[in-house]
Amino acid sequence: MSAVVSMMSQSGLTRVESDCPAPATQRFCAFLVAGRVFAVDAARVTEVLRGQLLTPVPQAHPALRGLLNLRGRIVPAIDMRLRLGFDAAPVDASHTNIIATVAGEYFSLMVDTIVDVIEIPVAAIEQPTADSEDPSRDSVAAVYAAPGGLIYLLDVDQLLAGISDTGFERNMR
Amino acid sequence: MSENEEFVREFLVESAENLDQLDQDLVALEENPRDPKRLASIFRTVHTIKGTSGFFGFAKLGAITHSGEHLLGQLRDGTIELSDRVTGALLTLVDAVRSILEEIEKTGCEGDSDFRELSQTLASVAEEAAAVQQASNSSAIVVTRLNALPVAQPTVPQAVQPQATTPLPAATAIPLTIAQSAPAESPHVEPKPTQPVVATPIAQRKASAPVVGEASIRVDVGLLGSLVDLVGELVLARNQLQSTVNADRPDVLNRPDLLKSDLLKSDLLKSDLLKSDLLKRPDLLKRPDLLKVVQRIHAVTGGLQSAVMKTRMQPIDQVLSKFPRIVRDLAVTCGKEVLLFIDGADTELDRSLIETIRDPLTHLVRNAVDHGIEPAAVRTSKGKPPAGRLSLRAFHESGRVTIEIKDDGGGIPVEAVRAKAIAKGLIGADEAGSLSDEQVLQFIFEPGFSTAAAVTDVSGRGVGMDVVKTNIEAIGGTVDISSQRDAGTTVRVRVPLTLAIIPALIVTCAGQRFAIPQAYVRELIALRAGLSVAVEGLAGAPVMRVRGRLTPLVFLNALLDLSVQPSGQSPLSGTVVIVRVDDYEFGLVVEGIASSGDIVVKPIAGLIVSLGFYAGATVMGDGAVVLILDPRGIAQMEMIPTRPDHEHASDASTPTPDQQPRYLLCETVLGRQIALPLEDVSRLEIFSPAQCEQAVGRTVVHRSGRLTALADIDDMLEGVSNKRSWQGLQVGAASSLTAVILAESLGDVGLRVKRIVEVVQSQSPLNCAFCAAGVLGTIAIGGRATEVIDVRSLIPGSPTVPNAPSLSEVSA
Repeated sequence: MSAVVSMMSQSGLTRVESDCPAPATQRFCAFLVAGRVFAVDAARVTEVLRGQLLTPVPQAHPALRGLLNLRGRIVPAIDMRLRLGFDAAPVDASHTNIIATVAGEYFSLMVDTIVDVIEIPVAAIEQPTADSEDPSRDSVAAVYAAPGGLIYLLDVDQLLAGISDTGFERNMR
Repeated sequence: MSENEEFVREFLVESAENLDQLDQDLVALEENPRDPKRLASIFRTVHTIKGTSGFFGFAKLGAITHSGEHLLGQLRDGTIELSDRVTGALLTLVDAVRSILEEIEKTGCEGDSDFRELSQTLASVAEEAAAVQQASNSSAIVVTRLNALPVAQPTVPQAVQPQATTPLPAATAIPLTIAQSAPAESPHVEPKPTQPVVATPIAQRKASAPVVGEASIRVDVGLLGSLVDLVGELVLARNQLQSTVNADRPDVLNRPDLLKSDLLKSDLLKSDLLKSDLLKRPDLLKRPDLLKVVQRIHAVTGGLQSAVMKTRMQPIDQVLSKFPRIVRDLAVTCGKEVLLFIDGADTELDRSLIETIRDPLTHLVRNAVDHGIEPAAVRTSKGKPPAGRLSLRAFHESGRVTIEIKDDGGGIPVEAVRAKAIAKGLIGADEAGSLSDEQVLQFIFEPGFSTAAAVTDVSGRGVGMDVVKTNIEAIGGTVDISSQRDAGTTVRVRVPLTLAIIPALIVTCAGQRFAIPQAYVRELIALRAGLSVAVEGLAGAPVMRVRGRLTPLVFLNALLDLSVQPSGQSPLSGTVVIVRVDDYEFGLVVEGIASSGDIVVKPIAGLIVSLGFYAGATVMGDGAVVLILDPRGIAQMEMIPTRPDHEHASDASTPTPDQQPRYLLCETVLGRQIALPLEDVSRLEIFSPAQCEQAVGRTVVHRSGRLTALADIDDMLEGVSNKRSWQGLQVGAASSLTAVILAESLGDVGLRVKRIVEVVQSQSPLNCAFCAAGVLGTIAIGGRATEVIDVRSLIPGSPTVPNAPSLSEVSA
């Protein structure tokens, strides 16, 4: 795992391969957020970038940390710590951008660090336990009990839907 | 795609273009029936379609084009003369061909509509016309023969409808004097044999343009799009390259004049400054050619960018060229004579915009012919020439494209619109009287105003005008209408040249950059303490006097909730960007202006657009993303009140001592000017009628958790003199209510006024000789005697209850 990370940090920009998965397994892109391992469907991920310059969007949802310039394309970046209900990362902490597509639009998921692209047997994917206290619950679609611990599988569409909700009250004067 | 499919596709694209040309040619031919060039061009086009359809085995297409070709052959040979019937039949043919081609495009085969009748019609028209030609000496015989002939049957564009296949109505009796031609408008259009239709010449100022575009090729739109994107990236890369080089050589490379001279050989190099600079970058010294290369890349990229952007531009002719046919058909249907003039068809604008303006323009043209231009008889009785004039003019004007649709018809009956607006409850009867004709005309843009049948009968215009306005405004355009009774109506549609690149002002606020489209920016005013420009606070609603006008201010840092830099800018520093949205202006207070220039507008995710503050984003030369502010959205969010443009400017500009009392000058709904002592005013607010509720005979609104009673100031004054309490508001259908919220010590009361004029400092003393109930006295403001309202006497209980009385007490 650490080897992968260091390789990626060297290249700065790594394209995740998304070959046709074998029917019995599904590829996931696993990453760390606040010490926990999450993963998204690798087919939705187009690339991984290291630290990008962000332009903040005032008055937007707090988890929408800003806009980054992906070769001329404007991509909103979502702070996964805030989105999943954790505390914000320390100011000087580095992060990694996972670029994913949702309904034709590109989004960046800001994670602490990328772990690996893993193959998960479809049969081993389980329903999440109903832990109503967990704020990240609404976007966790499934869990996979990996040998090293639980991996929370996230629904990318749900991640965004949570941000576009009108529930967020705009700070009107 | 198989090879055959590819050929068919090519055939479809080519034929679509040819058919458009055919429409134009046929209409032009009507005007000049013996133009051999036109005839030859029409013949050639129909022949090509016939030949190709045979090649692909499209039998129906082959059959009808064959009949058409036959008719055209006779026209060309001069055996028959062009008449309205012949043109009508040929135009019907064009529509039929178009509908078959659409079917082929959709399904790959010709569809199951039956066009045999059309073939017959074409044949009979040819025969009939030949008969007319032969029998021009003995018309009596022809009348009897003609009666047995079918009229040109409209062919249904949506050929799948069963009506298309119903048999022709048995030969309609048509006297020879009637040149009947049923246009292909709709299958339900009944021929009107009793209404004489006179020839409808359609003039097109455009000289017979070259028929074929010789030096052009067809390029896929998607390919063009990616070309534009790539060039955009190239420009960014060039900018980064430049800034990389410049970063080390700020003194020299930021001065292009120095660069142009052969810098490295120049004497400048000997200067100490440069030497020290260059010493830091010895590599540059060794490679002077690098600078030249950067320069060349700069120039070439710029040229490439503008050339690629030009490929997006298309002449507006693409839309306008359809109108001769549309106008002709409409004129025939309505039994009117219309001369169409098209000017400026070569005016270019962005491709995507052309598509967007097509429907609104068609709508406006239809309106002009259908409702604007009167029938010939009416026109003659008014002393106008029998043929109406409709002119379409497109031209560039201050970076935008203006399209003017002008008719010389009956104009819009303003009084009927006014009456309808009152009837529909859009304005009160008293209010309607005070509106100018131009303001009244704006009601035709009200949604729903148009659909009422009664109005269209009376006023003519208005069907879907709200849709026209909405569509045009969606692309940042405007629609203006002016009309004069019996002189005609002019509609001016103004749209931007392109949506992709716009000139913008880059401003800074709390260390962040934002772009404001220049189209909105009226002027910039530096804000510094001690300058004569003064910000006048109305507790929470800051306003600024700009050339004697009160302009509301919006502080960008407050709006966006950005913390001010710790360096401690005083609130009265920065720049006011005066922004104009529609007819009103407001000032956006920013920290400073960073730059101005053209920016490439990039789309942003829907969840950011929905915030209402931003219209898009752009990438700056340094690769950073900058948000583009949406002044319209900001105005709506801040509830900036609409202010008519023609408002008089205040002449009270001389500074006066502070001890003079200050008044808020308002105009009441009934149109009188009143002044409220400023210390009695807490703030100004705009409410929508939906916010108002009726309670215990009062109108109340929720304001930050409290109930505020709203009352009309006119009603209050009348109530005080008649010793009765004031009542609830007649909200009517006003789109918004302007209210002056009184100071808290006076209770939760808002006075409804028509508009806020300004804040004045009285230079004349209060004259108490004319005081009355509710009025403290009068002051002269701008030479006009203005009543100063005694707010306290208007609010029951307020003088005796110093603390805010609750709503129940007020209403008790």
